[in-house]
Amino acid sequence: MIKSLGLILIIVSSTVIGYFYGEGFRKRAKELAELQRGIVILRNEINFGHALLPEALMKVSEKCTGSIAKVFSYASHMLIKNEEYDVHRSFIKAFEVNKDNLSLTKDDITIFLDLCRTLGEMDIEGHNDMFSLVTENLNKALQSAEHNLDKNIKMYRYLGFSFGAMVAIVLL
Amino acid sequence: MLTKEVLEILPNSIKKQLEGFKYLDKLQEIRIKVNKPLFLVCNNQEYMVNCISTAEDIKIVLQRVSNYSIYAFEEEIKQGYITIQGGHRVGICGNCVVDKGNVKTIKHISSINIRVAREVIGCSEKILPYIVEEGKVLNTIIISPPKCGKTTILRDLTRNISNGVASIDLNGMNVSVIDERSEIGSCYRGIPQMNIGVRTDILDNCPKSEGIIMAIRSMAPQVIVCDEIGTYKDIESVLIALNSGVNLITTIHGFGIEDLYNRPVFKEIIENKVFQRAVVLSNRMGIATIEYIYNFTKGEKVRRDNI
Repeated sequence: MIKSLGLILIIVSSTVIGYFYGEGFRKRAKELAELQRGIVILRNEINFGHALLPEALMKVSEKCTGSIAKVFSYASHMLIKNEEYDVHRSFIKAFEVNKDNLSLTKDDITIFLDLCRTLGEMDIEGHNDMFSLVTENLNKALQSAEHNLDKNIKMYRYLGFSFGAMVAIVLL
Repeated sequence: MLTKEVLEILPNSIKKQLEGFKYLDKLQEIRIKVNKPLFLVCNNQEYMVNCISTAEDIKIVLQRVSNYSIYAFEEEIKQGYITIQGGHRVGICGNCVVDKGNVKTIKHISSINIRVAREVIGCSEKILPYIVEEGKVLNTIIISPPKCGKTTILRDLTRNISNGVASIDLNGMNVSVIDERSEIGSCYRGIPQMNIGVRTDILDNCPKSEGIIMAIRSMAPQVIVCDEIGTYKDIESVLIALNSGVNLITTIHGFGIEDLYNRPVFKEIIENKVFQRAVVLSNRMGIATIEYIYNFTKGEKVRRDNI
């Protein structure tokens, strides 16, 4: 009886691990889409509202969801309190603080941080060019994330179950 | 103590230098230049601080002054200054980018001058009885060389006229301030940082010639206040204001009423007898020394000793 319970536990936990690993791909795609949405909101705030950057970032954080909202909110607070010298450093810290809750890859974050290097330091025309460039790069990253999502999510779920089942059979 | 708003925009290296400075409460200017020592102006005296500023320091100040949003201050940068909270003005110099004869922006900013804004409440009280007659404000021009306190006097006059002064039977009036260079109200995000009275409306950063007409149309003012008139377009608007029955207080750069008569641009306002009083200032005995008040109607001067 105890042995059967133990084997079931192994299969269940292995399936759950596979499921969560697969979910990471879904979460990455979702965060990339959210980041893109954030950039569109930021672009509108700068273009039409002429909002100051800390306020614009705060508005983005209010309109976005999940960890991306937290990143924008953290960076906004850093700028309001003058805790970092520039926007780039504020976002590096914001990503660092929220890294445990993010599924974005290092490359995804680098795409966004490239925008932060010049954010607030150019005229509106310059910002629009940068927004277009980063949106294009994020689109590519999103396409790759969605491709990986379709390919890997089922694989990791099945792999989790199969690995658990294999261990259970060996122990049987 | 130096205001919090000024300290907040400074990098730590400069802030540390200021913390030990003994005349901090009387600070008027902080001049920062790349690879040059820091200069402080207090009580009209200059002090050199042995702290070499870097390009990074200037960048930090600029980032903080603009709230990390240079794009939102394009117009201010074109004019060479940004007003921060508290009404303090940050002047910037660097490499001007010129497009079709106009300054498009300033790049490679190499020096910054932070001018600490201070209002002198009550400094116009001596002048006020001379420019108010039977509860009405007379059309007045303040004539003074630079740095003699004409804007400070103008600001205090605005406050008094707007609030009203019981001792001279002056009821509070609706005043519109056309603040082309953000000097009178020192607005930050449209809100005056200086006390310019309870009945005062302000058009910040607005060209005088357009602002005067806009104010007459939209705010029905009894008195219009603006600083430093000097172009034919300004004069045209002043005449429109007077034809609309609005009284006017303004200033010009100069040393006496002769400057008003000698400059061709003012010919029309002299011919139309626009102004009833002129207040001439100097800094002979300290900032905002009243030299004399001229009565255009009677053609007589009231000297400083009699004011």
